[in-house]
Amino acid sequence: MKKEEPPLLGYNYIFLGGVDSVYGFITNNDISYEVKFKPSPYALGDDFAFGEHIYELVLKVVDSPTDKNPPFDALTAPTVAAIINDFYDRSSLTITIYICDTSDRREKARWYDHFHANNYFRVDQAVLDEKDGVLYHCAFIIKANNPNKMAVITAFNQLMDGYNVAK
Amino acid sequence: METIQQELTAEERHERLVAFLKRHMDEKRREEAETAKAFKTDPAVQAAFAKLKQENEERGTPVVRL
Repeated sequence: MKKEEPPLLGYNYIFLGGVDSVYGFITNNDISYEVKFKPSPYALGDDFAFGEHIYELVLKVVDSPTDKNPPFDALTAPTVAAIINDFYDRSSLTITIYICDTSDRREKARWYDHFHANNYFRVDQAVLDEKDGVLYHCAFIIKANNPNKMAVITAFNQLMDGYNVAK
Repeated sequence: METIQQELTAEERHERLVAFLKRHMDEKRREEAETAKAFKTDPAVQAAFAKLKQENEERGTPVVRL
């Protein structure tokens, strides 16, 4: 009887560190990704008390053999999710902000649904620019037991309502 | 970043939010381009990815438990 292979749940990744807490991984198609957590202390306004814990998530293809958009890869999303888990293990108070627009939406959707998970709390909101026909997608992710949850929700809602917006 | 002090209408606040998001995405794309450039020119990053690639080839794709 043939031995059953273990399920492939994601790619191996490395932590490169640095100011932006950079991670990297390479897919079976030889596409290299970097995942960054860029410190963004003022993203929820100058007065937000927990700004030191805010990071913007940036997911970028840094090398691709074809220079085209990467084809669908079922292992990319769980790998990004595992990287985010790792980052939250380093600091459970982390507040991750993610902003993308229409052109990025498909990429985001692949990993984003992992954060319906029990241990996370996620809020997102779409913002339509009717003039240019661009849909922006804004979200934050925190651990479900983050003691600052209510403050984060309030600040995010204020941002989405057009308060605390950078001039 | 500046907190809006005066009372704006909902429409004005929306316009301000959209302008902010537009600027933010422009800046994000610039930074992403710099990241891609740095990937190709930073010896430390190149070495780290080369090591990862070698490990992947030697061990196959490992299982990541979520």
